[in-house]
Amino acid sequence: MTSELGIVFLFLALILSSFSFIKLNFGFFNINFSSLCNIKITNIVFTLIFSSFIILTYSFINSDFSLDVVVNNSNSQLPFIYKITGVWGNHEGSILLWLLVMAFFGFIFSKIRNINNEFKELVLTIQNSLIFLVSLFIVFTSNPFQKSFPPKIEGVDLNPLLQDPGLAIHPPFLYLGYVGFSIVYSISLALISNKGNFKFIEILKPWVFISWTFLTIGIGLGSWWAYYELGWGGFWFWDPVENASLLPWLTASTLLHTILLANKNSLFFKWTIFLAIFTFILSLLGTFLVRSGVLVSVHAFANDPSRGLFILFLLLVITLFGFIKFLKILDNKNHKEINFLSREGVISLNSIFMLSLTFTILIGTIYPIFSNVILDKKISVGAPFFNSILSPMMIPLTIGMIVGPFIKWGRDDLKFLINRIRYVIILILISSLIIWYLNFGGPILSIIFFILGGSLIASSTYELSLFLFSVKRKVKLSKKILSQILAHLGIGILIIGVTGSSILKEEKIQFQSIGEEIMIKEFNVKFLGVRSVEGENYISQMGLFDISKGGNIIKRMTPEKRFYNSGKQMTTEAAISSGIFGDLYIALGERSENDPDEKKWTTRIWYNPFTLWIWMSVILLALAGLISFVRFSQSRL
Amino acid sequence: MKKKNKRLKTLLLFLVPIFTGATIIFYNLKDNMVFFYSPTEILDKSDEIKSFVRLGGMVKKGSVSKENTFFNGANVEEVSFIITDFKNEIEVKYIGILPDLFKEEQGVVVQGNIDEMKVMRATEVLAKHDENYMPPEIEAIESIKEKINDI
Repeated sequence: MTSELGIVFLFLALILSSFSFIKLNFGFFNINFSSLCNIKITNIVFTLIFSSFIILTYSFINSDFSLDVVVNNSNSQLPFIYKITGVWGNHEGSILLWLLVMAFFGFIFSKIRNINNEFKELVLTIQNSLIFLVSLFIVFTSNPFQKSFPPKIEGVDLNPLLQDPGLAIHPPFLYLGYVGFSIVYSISLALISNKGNFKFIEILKPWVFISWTFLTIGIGLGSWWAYYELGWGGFWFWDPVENASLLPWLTASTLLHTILLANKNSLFFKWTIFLAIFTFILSLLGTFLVRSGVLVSVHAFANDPSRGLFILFLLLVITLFGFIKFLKILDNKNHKEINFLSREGVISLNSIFMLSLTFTILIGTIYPIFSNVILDKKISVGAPFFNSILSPMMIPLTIGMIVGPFIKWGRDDLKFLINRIRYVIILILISSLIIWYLNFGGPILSIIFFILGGSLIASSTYELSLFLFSVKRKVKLSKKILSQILAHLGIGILIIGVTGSSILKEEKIQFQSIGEEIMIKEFNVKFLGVRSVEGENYISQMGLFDISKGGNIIKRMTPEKRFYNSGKQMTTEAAISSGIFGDLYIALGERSENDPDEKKWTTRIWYNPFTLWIWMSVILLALAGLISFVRFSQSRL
Repeated sequence: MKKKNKRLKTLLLFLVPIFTGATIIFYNLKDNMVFFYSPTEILDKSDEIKSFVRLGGMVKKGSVSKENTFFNGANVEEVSFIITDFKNEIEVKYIGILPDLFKEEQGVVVQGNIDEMKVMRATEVLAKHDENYMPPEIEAIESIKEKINDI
C-alpha cells in the first residue's frame, strides 16, 4: 500500500514543478506569471520527493518483494546496511536519489536569508524546471515503484560487488557533486538575466566550492573502491564512466579559479558563467553515458534504449537552453586588458590548458560512439591515449601551480618575480637532486613527474612557511591562501601517488604452492594455505599469507574469494597492506586443476608504490574545498 | 587597420593551437584505438589485423582447460578456451586470474594479439561485471545463441 503512495508523491512533484517549467518557458514571451511562488513549490516538491525516497527505503528495509526493484536488488538475508544502500544500487533508485539531491539543493537555496527575493525566485524557477525534467524521466522510463508480477517471495540479491562500505557511500557523494552543479547552473542562468550586477556572483561561490568538494570525494571513493574491491591492482582504468566523472571535475576546478576574479573583470565573469553551465552539462553527459549503456563500460547497468534517448533529449534541452542564454553576455566586449605576466594572466592560461585537456578527454571518451554509429566500426580507446595526452599537459599545469601563487595581481615584473621566488628555485633544485639520487629505479618519465610533484610540494610548503613563520606579524594566513596552498599541495601529492602507482608498479602472477615463498620488492610473501570462512551471506575461501621483511614476520595478509549464495556470484577481496612508500597487494586466484596434491593456487601479488598518497591528496583537496566553502558562505551579500 | 590587425592576431592566437591540438589528438587517437572483432571477422580480415585487438564471443562449452607453463621465469597456469560466434572459432590463451564471472557458454571479451597460428594471446579478459549487465557486443552474441536454441 505504502509503495503506491511513493509513485503518487512523485506524480504530484512532477505536476507542481511543471508550473515552474511553464513559467520559465513562457517567461520568454513575457507572459506574466508573477503570482506563482517558486519558493513554496520548491519546499513542497522537496517534501514530496523526500517522502517518496523514504518510502522506497522503507520497502527495501522491509524486503517488500512486491516491487520489481526490491526483488532484483535485495534479498531477505542481506545485511541491514546493504538493504539501505541497495536503494541506490540500481538504476531506478539511483535516479530517484539524483532527483532528491537536486530538490535538496533547491530547498537549501530557498532557505538562505539574505538573498534578494526576486533573484531567488528566478533561480528556483530554473531549478524547479530541472526537477520537472528529471521527474518526467523517472515517472515515464524508470519508475522505482513498478510492481513485480507475479509477486515474489524472495529477492535475487544485491550485486555482491556493491556489498561494500566504500561503494555504499560512493554514489551519494558523487551525486551531491554532480547534482550540486544543477544549482550552480540555475544560479548562473539567473545571473545572466540579471546582467551587469557582478555582486550577485558572491551567491554562486559557496555552491561551486561545496559541489566541487563532494565531487572530489565521490571520485576519490570510487577510485578507492575499484582499487581494493576489483582485485586488478589499479585505481584508475580510463573507463568511459570514470572519464565522465573526471570531465566535470576538470571544468569545475577551472571554475574555482575564474570565479575569484569574476566580479573584477567581465572577461572572467564570462569564463565563470560558461564553465558553470558546461560543468553541469558534463555531469549530465556522465549520467547519460552510465545510464544509456552506449559505451562498453564496467559500470553500465542493465539498460533500456528508451532511457538513453530520453537522457539525450534532456541533455540537448539543457545544453541549448544554457548556451542560448550564455550568448546574451558574449556581446559586451569592454573588459579590462590582461597582462600576460600577472596572476590574471596565469589563471587565463590555466583555463585554456584545463579546457583543452577536458576537450581531449571528451573526444577520446565519446569517439567510440561516433565510430560505431557513423563509421560502423567498433572500437575502444585505451588508456595509452589518455596517458599520452595527460602527461605532457601536466607539465605546464604543474609549473603554473608552482609559480602562479607568487605572481602579483595586475602586473608583475620578471626581475622582481625571480627575486621573489629565488628560494623556491633553490628548493626545487635541491628536491630534484634528491629525487634524481633516490631514483626509485624508474624510467625517465617517472623521474620527471616525481620532480614535478616534489617541486609543487616544496613550493607549497615554502608558501605556507612564509605565512606561519613570517617576521612581519602583519601577514596573516587567510582562509583564501590556506585553501589555495592545501589544494596545490594536494595536487603535488597526487602527482607523486599516480606516478608511483602507475609507472613503478611491480606485478607477479604465479602458481604458489602451500609453503612457497615469493619475493617482491623487499618483502617475502609466504603462502600458508587456504581456509574456509563463513560470512553473513557468503562463504569465503581465505588465503593466508605471512609477510616478512629481513627475516622477521611483519604481517599476516588474508585475501579472499567470496561466494554469495543467493545470487550465485563470486567476488575477489584483495588484501592490501598500505605503507607510506607503497602498498603490498595480494589477490587470490583459483586452485590448480592439474596438481594432484591440490596444493597450488594462482596468486597475483603487486607492489604499488605511493598509492596511499593518492588517498591523502583527496583528503587535502576536500579539506581545501571545504575551507573555501566556509569562507564564502560566511561572507555573503 | 589597427583594429583589423588585432582581430587577425586574436584569430591566429586561437586557431593555431586549436588546429595543432586537433591534429595531435587525432594522430594519437588513431594509434591508440583498439578494434573489436568477432571470430568470423578475424578469420576474414586476417591480413589487415596485425595489432592489438578485442575479440568477443561466447566461451565454447567444454573448451576451458588449464595447463602449467613458464612465464617470466615463474611457474604459472595458462588458461585456454575457445571463443565462438557459432560460425567460426578462435582459440584463446591467457595467463592470469580470470574474472569472477567468467563461465562457459557465456559472453566474453578478450584483448590481446593474434599470432600466426590464429591463436589469441590475451592480456586481458573482460567478463560480465554485473549479472544483469552485458556489453552490447556480448548482448548481440547472446541473441544469436537464443535464436540457435530456438531452432
